[in-house]
Amino acid sequence: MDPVTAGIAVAIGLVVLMAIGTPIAFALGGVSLVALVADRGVSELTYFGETFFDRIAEFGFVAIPMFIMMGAAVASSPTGRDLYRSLDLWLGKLPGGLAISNIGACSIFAALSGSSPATCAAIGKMGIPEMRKRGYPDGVAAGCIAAGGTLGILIPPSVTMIIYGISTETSIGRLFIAGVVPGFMLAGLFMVWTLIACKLAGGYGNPMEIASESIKKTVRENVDANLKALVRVLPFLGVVIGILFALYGGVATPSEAAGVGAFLCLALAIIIYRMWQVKPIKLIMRDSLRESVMIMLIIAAAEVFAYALSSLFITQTVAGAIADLEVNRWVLMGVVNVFLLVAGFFLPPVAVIVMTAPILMPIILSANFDPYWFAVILTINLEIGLITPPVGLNLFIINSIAPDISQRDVLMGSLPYALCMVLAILLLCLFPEIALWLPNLLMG
Amino acid sequence: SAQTVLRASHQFPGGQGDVRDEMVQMMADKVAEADVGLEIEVYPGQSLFKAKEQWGALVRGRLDITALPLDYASGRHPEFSATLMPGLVRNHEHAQRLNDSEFMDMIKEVIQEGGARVLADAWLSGAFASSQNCITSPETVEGQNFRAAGPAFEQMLEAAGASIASMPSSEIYTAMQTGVLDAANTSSMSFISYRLYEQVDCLTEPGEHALWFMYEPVLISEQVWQGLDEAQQQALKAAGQEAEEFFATEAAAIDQQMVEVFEENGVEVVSMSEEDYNAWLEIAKQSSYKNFADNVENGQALIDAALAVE
Amino acid sequence: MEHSHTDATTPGGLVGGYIRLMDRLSRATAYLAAALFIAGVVVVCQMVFVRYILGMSTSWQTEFTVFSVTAAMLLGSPYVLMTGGHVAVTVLPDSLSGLPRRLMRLAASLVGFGFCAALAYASWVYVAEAWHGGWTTGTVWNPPLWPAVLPMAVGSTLLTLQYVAEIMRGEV
Ligand code: NA
Ligand code: NA
Repeated sequence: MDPVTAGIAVAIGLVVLMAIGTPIAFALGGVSLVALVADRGVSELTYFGETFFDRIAEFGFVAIPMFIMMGAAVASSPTGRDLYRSLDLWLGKLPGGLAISNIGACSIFAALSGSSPATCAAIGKMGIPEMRKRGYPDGVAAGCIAAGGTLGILIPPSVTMIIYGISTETSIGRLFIAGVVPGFMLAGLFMVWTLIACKLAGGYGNPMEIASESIKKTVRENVDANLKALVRVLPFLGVVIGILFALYGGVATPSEAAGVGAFLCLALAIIIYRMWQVKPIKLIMRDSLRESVMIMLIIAAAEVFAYALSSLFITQTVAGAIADLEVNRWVLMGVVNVFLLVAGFFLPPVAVIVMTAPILMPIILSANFDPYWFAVILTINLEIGLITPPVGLNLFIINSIAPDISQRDVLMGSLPYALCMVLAILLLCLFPEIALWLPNLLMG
Repeated sequence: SAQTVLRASHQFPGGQGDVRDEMVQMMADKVAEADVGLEIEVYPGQSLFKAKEQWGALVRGRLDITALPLDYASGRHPEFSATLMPGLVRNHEHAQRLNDSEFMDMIKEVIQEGGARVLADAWLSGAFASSQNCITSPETVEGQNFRAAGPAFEQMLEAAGASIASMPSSEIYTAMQTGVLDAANTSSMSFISYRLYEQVDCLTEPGEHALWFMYEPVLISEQVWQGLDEAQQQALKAAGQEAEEFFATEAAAIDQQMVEVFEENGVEVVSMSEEDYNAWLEIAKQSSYKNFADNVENGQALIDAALAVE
Repeated sequence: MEHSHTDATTPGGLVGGYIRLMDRLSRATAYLAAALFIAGVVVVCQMVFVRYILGMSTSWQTEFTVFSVTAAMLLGSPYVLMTGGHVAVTVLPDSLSGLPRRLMRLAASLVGFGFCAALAYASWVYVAEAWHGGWTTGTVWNPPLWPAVLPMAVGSTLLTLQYVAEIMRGEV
């Protein structure tokens, strides 16, 4: 089959299967299987199990479910609530303070979890109702949680950085560190926009006034409870610091750190919150199983899809065509970004990375871009995809937390945060040191 | 005219001077020159099949040609472990003599039964390096956190008192940097390409008494081979022969290049003496060889046949 | 495990019996998956302890963890299907109503069913080959391969059967 025709057929097939509502993993896998059998015969079906299994049974991938379990242990326990309360205590007095403390809580939770939807869910469950109660406009409440949640894959640990590291043979530890400064920078940009949004929304019964009034009261009444909450959160932060130390201080590889982190967070949730009954543990396991199965099946299907694209010579044809463009490297970077952005509209981050890494990496390297810097650019791009339709995993979460906020409010509230991310990408292009300074400092 | 296109897959970086990639690329060029209606399309860097999938794909005819460490298929043909066994190959000249031995006939028989055929023999040498102390005699590895290339080496090093951590070669650099590893053993090619000279203090070059050699042949699927006409088979054989000779001269050059790069970067370079080598062999006999003989039918005969090559 | 379906919507008779049986099986394998998942976590911790605290070699832990966690992911997949956890783009079907919507959902389910059935078939082929060939993993531990692949075969088979249940549930 001619690669161009095959490529078009595969793209159309995938779009149709996804549009009618086939789960992404099965759509990717189904299209790949049909393309492979059509091109190379029925042996591709017979030995498909081997390809599918051998590609996900890898020690590096084990880190993904484990970082998800670590996040679920924290999210399913009252840690999210406590984290949230203590931030409220410190930040609540500022104008728009509650929205800002939500983003702060998202950043801290992002350091406990490898996944964005988990971060979004953990903070959103508390944050959205609280903000609405205190008079914040629905759009701001939904938008700042949807966007704050995306930090889950930028601030380490990060599920997508793990996949990027495996696909491109780059160091996962170094990738993690590269995400730290951009992660907090992006959180800062989100906070700035939130303040502006609150100011702009002043007409809606002055939410800042209401918020700060109500917080003054809460603070007065609950200083004691809040301090206790802070004390309960500290051990979890200790685990995060311990994991970072283990990763960069020479004790464990990423998968090992993930396993120990999951174990410790599970143990802490049980000890601190006295969750030794069967029910809460069941809840933690259910949440971690649901999210990790969903992600791992998409990864496996995307791996098979990448194999099919290569087998049909589509990858090589596309990569060759891009390389032959011989444009300015920044024009190339612009094209790559648009391509990723569009892919991110339709697909979850993990799928985009597995499917595009074989095409993009040779191009990025031959254009002399740093693979660690590019990982950060790629991640922020995919974060945008998390808050844009039709597949925005964080939008799904917001919808399940607050089904009564209209889609339009959620989207309009999230849009400015997506622009913050575009700004962050521009800043990173102008000052690559934002991503590279810390890994160079720590790892030489 | 109807061109037959064969797909060749390997795990090494493409177009960046890796000798194994150049070897396969060279075969593609030679076959094209022969003008026998045959074309080889090279898929480097695991871009088609992953390293460990290649054997299975090859013997089913899903893949036509591959260059792979034969030990990767030892789960399906345990005999292949003998091609990554400590001390069975001592140096490059020894590897050449081994190629025409009864030992290799036995291995190639298993390859044939499995459904593949050797187009070119290739023996890759490797080294040891440590950030603690130079690795020569078995005592020098005691207490070091070690990454070894191949299960048989893991068994031998553990028997000598090292503690073993397994990981892909791409993680060695970071693991050494952070202190997860003290020492590593891998191919000379990987020592250069992963810039391990930045992390170690002492390198044990292969030299005259090397412990680590690995068989990494270019294979063709038997099914595919039978489907080719005689002219095409001849062209492939001739190309394989040239690639094999090219590799044999390059392999020793890689060792030399490794030594130079490491010395330039201030790494001490040592080699094993005959006594060191013999001491290692004693340990291997009680660990890796013994396990192999116990668990593999014909295992002892394979070891004996290899050791019989002068 | 918790689940999102209310039994009130489950029809009676043979169809209902089949749906209830599948739901029960999917939930049971989810428990098994959770146990394997936890086992993987515990073994990683044991490995870190043995290697870094005791300074000893580890031989089987890496592989065990890979196989147990991979098994957990595949055995957990029927439960995730049952609770609607496999992410899909539902904008288009959601914007329709009546028969077109039902047909579109049925088509999507049939695609999913088809893929899962193909995966189940291919998985059993792999298990059978690994069993007959006496294949091992080729590492120091070198365990037989078929027990590692078996959970994928079981998981994808149940996933296929669960898809049938979902189609039945959607159609009545
Ligand atoms: Na994170
Ligand atoms: Na999107």
